[in-house]
This record gives sequence, structure tokens and C-alpha cells, in this order.
Amino acid sequence: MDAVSVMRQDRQPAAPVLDLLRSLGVSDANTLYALAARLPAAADGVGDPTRAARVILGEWFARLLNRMDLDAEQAFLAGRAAFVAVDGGNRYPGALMTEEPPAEFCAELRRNMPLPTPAAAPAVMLAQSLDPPPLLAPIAALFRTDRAKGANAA
Amino acid sequence: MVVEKPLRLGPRPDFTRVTLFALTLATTFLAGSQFLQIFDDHRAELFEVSLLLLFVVGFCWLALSFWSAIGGFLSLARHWQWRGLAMPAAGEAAPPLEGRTAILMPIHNEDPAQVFAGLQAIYEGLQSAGAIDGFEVFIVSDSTDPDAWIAEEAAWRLLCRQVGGEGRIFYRKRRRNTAHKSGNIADFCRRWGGRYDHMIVLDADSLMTADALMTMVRLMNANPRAGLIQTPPTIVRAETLFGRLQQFASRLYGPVFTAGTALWHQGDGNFWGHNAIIRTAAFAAHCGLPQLPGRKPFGGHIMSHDFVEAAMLRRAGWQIWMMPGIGGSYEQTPPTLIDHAKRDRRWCQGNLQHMRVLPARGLHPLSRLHLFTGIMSYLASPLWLMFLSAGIGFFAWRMAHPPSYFAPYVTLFPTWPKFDASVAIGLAVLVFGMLLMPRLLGFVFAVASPERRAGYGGLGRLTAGFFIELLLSTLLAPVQMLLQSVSVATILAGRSGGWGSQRRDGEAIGWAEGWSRLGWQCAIGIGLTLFVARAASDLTWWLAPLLAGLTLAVPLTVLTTRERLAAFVARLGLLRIPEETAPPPLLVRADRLEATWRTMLGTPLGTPTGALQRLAADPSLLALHLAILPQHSDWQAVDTDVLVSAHDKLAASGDPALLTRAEVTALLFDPPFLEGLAAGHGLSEAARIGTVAEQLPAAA
Repeated sequence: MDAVSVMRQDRQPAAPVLDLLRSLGVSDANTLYALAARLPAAADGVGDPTRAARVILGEWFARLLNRMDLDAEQAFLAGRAAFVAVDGGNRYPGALMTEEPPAEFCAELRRNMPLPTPAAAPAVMLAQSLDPPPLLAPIAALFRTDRAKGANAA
Repeated sequence: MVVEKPLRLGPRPDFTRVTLFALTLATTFLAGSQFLQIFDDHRAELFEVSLLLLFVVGFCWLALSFWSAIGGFLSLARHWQWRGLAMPAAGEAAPPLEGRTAILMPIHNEDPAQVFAGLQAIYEGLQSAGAIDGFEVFIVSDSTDPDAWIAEEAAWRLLCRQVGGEGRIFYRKRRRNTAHKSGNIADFCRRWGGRYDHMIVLDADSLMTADALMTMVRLMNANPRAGLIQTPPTIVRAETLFGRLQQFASRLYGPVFTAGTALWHQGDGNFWGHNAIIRTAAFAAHCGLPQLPGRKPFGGHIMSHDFVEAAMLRRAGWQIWMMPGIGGSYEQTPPTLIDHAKRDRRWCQGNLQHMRVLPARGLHPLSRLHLFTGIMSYLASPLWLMFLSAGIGFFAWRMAHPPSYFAPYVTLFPTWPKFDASVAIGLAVLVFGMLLMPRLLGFVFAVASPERRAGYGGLGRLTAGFFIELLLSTLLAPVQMLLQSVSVATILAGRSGGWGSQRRDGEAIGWAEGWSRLGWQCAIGIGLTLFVARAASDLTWWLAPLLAGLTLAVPLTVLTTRERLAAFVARLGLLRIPEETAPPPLLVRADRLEATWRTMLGTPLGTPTGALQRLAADPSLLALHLAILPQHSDWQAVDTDVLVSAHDKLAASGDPALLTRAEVTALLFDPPFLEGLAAGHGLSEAARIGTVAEQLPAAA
């Protein structure tokens, strides 16, 4: 008996949740439904199961990647990229959302986590003035190509 | 190995400046006064005055360049070191690298194989030197071609894996390339500028050795008042004859020119836009560029930002240094005259825009001179063109109208219209001499050292190369003069040019393209030759380089793009540069890596729909794209109409070939569509699932 047939009718995952799991590279129907069973469904009183699934997966990835500084969505996106990069959907599908995933899987995932930019470290960069001194302003105005148009408009 | 003599302190900057300007003005005055001796014809006094003015302005610029080159030669020969710039110890005594430096690579629809191969070579160099801990690489993309964008993401991931650069090599793409390169760098500063003490700004074709990068950082650390240190990049890797001419000229004559400008600029120097290190905090605090009021070409974003940023840094009290002695700094040149002219057109517009900046409050006088020099480097062409046209016209008029010895007023004495050919010839020789002298000095500097001579293939090849370059650059000069004059005229007439990416490979120009772009120059050349032969035959020989250059504009342009011709010249050892005789390991590595990268990245650019298909076929790349999308600036700013249209077209047909480039770009910025694709739905289905109605509230 497989995961699909034993699932209660009211616990059937929504198509977007299955899509979400498919986007992790999981293609086997049994695995998909088994994984979906670990996620909240509409029957659990969750308004947006897909959103909730992203948060759960995101928090799980954040723990695994030691990146608790990331919010759930960022962690989900980064974790998914790493998971797909290591072909996790085929190699480690059962490890998803487990408490104790294999150590080599965790290490591989961390190595493949994309870090496109470092944490923001803003610098203030304001537009500086390049205006001429008042005496020279008429000369600079000679090169203003909207003068004639402005005059007409006025 | 070249054994250089120890450096010694050079003259004070105020002394060199006063001397340079005094010599320039004195030479111009002497030449101008001689010019006055040529004509004396009461029938054309106004004309003579106009001719004199044009001559004086053009000559003054020539004299400044000439004396600057003389100073450069002296500086090189005597190994002068700049005052006011502390030189850190080299070799084992070198101080440790302090602070964190970003190596910034701004790109815009570039060939990713070339860019990433170069970055890998640079990165590996730093790793080998044990200096990587002090550096991080930041690829800041402004690519508007969706295929280039996705290829960059794939290449970034590959590069990180190849060199173990995760967490040290970063990639960010802007949705809108507001203010082009300057806006790209400003966006970097605003978001991550606080993380870095320095940033080394590169160009897409830049290469720099680890030694050069480390020396620049050490120089910044040793000189806390330095805001920017510029290295003069050596042109390398040219594949066409035109490129090899530029490469040879830049390598042979460049040192004299850059040493000359460095000598009198010293701490009040200029920024060339790349291959320079910048103190990030100073740059962020003082180099925020305003939008210039008015419409293009003079209003809007500042196009040639580098000169202006240098002027703003200097205005805030920071020093700007040119360091010719650093070495290990490379770039490439446009492969053809046409590409050179396209780049020149952009630079021309940018530099002419500086007319608006020139009177800005508080700029250092030398910064104003840099801006003015930039403007004049383009205005000089129409000025010389007017001078030549007026001169030829005047000469022809004189030949057609025999002198009248009696003025139209009552006088006892006849007037003798004068034309002193010997003075004219003397002045022409002087002008040619002053044009030639900096080249000769570069040649002499190369010949003077056996090691340098050998670098150019020996005395015979160096001499032959010198004459080949002289001949071809003489013929190409009038072609470029006309092209620049047209650029100036169209820009002054209010027409703005584009800011497309630059072709850097050696693709040849065909005869049809050559004729369509430069056929008009041939027509002018033939017409002018006939006119001069008929109406001013005495001038024919003097004008031969001009007439020949224009008449041969198309063959010159087309043939100098032929790689086989360039390869033949290279096989003979002509136009060789030291970097070809003994290639630096960095260049060898970059060349090898480029071939490997080309294989790894696969399909060439140019098919925007390829980006969607590539993502659909590569789930790993798609997941990566979705993961790094929020890191891009302004990624949520959706062009609603474009996105709706893209969804409609794709949902209806499933054929990405029907989409415009803007529509593909909109989809690549559209998470709901991309999520559908990631779930394994086809393009059409993904466009239907992620409906626009769902997306817009989230995207707003």
C-alpha cells in the first residue's frame, strides 16, 4: 500500500504544495505524498498551506544550514537551491524535514548553499552638487538643452 | 629580467606645472607669431585671423602634450619618484595587507566566458600569493540581455565551485541600469560600501596580477590621504591588425605619456574608470553624482563619470595618484576602427557633457584642466578639420585670384600680398615634429635598454614596427578626425548616442559594412584629391597623408580587422610587445581558462529566449536563480504591461521566440511564473498557473 492511497481524503495535499515539493526535485509520487503528509493541510485549519509549507521548509533549512539569521523565505530559497544542486530530490528525498538528516547530506547542502551577496553594510552616498558659482551660472545655462523648450512652455 | 635603478625624488609638482605651462605658452606664442608671418593679404584679413585662432588653439594642445611627453621621458630616464606619496616596502619586507578590499567587476551584456575566466585567473593569483583573505570579488551586473544574465548566474556558480570562492565571490544584478556604470557602482556602495575599506574597480576586459592588487592596497594603507590610485593598464590580447596597432602604440609610447601626466598631476590626478583602487568611504561620501539639469546630451546622467568622480574626490581634499610603475595591469582594446569609433562616440558625448561640470563650485584647478582636456581631446578634431579646410580653401582661392596690388582705398603705394612659403613649411615641419617626438621618445626609451629592446623582438623588429605603426596611424588619423568631428557635430546638435556594450572579440568587418559606414570618407578623399590637384596643386604632397588616409578609409578599416593579416604580422614578429615575448603567467592562465569557460558555458549569447529554455532545462540553475533573485536591487519593480503581455503570449503559444527581450526579462524577474517552471510545468503552463492577477499584489 502506498502513501497516495492511504492518505485521508481531507488530507489530500493541494496542487500548489505538490508543486512546491516538485520544485525541490522530488518526482516520485509516493515520496511526494509522503513528504506532503509531513506538512500542514487545509484540514488542519491552515489558511494557506503552500505558504505554511514554505515556512516550515525554510525553518528546517535554516537549522540545517546554520543560518538562523535568515528569514524563513530566504532560507527556503537558499536551501532549495542547495538541495536541487546536490540532487537531493533523488539522493536524499527521505531526509527532508527529518530531525536527524545524514551528516554527509548536511555537509553537502552547506557547501552548495548559494551566497550571492554578503549581509548589507550600507554606506550613505548622496548626490553632491555640481552647480556653478552664481556668477558662472549663466555660462553653464548655455549648455542646458531644454532652455528653448522651457521658455516656450513658460 | 629588467634591473631598474633606484628611485629618486622628482621635482616639486608646482615647479613642473609652472615649467610645463610656461613652455606650452611660449611655444604656442612663438608658433603663433610665426604663423602671422605667413600671410599678409589685405583681401582676407578676417580669414587670416580666424585661421590664426584655430591654429593657436590646436597648437596649444599639441604643445601641452609634447612638453608633457618630454617630462615623462625625463621622469622615466631619471627614475623619479613622486613627492608626497609614501612607497611601501616591496618583497619580503612588504607590510601586511590591512583592511578588506572589494574587487568590483561591473558588467553589461559581456561575454561571460571572458569575464569569468579573467576573474578566475585574478582570484587564483591572489590565492597563490596567500593574499585572498584581504579580498572579495563582487560581480555587479547591469546586463539587459536575459541570456547574458542567466549565463552570468551559471558562470558565477561555476566560478565559486572552481576556486572554492563561496562566500567570497558575490554576484548582484540590477533590474534597471540607471546611470549605467556609475549608477551600478553607486548601488554597490550604498548597499555594501560599509563592508570594504577599498574597492578596486575593473572593466570587463581588465586583468590585474596579485602583485599589482596587493601593491595598490599597501599604497592606500601607507597613504591615508590618497582617495584613489590609478594604474595605467597595458593593452594586451589584441587579435586584429587594428588592435595590434593600438596595443603596440600604447605599449611603446604609453609609458612616456603616462609618466609625463603623472609627473605634473602628482596628487591631483585623474581617474580612468577602471584598474584603479578607491577608498570606499571617501568615494561614497563625496562622489554621489547628481543628474544634470536639462535633456541629453548635456543633461541627464553623467556618462563619463570617472573624471567627475576624481574631481569630486579631489574637491573633498583626497589625493588622486597615477602610478605608472605598478605594472601588472591589463585591458583590451576594441578590435576594429568601427568599434573604436563607437566607443569614441560614447566617450565624446560623455566628455562634452563635462562642459556643464567645468564651472562647478570648489573644483581644484587641475581637476578643471582634466575636464577641459577631456573636452578638448574631442573638440581638437573639428578644430583641426576647420583649420585644414580653411587653409586648403584659402590656398585655392589665392591661386584662383591673382593678387591686386592696389587696395580699394586711395594710396600712394601698392600693397604686396604676402605668402611666405618657407615659414609655412617651417611651421608644418614643427607641427609634424611635435607630433612625432613623443613617439620617438617612447622608441628611444625602449631601444635604450637591451631587455626592453628584446621584449619588442629586437632592434630590427622594433624599428620596423615603429614605422609600420607610424604609417598606418598616420593614414588612420584623418579617418578618426572626421569620425570624431561628426560625433561632436551630432552631439552639439542635441543628438544623444546609446550606451551599448562593447564588442571585444576580433570579429572582422566585411566590405559591405565597411563601405556603408565609411564610404562617404572615401568619396570625400577622392573629391578632395581632385580638388587639391586642380586648385591647390602646391599642397598635394603636404596633404598626401590626409588625402591617402581618407581615400583608403574603407580598405584600411576592413583589412585591419582581418585576423589572418594580424597573425601573419605576428608571425613575422612585427608589432610585438613584451607581454607577447614573455607572457605574464596571469595572461597565459586567463587565455587557457577562457577556452575552458567557453566549453563549460556552451551556447553563445544572442538568443534572449534561450534564457527561459535554459532555466526550464536546468532545475538547479532555476532554483539558484530564484534564490538569488531577492538579492538583486529593485527586483520587485514589475513592469505590469510587459508582464501581462509576456504571460498572455506564452500561455497562448508556449513559444518563447514570440517574446520581446523586455518580456523575457520581466518573466525572469517574476517569482510565481518561475515557481511554476520549477515545479516542472512547461513554459506555457507556468505562464497560465502564475496568473498575473495573483502576482501583481505581491509584486507591488
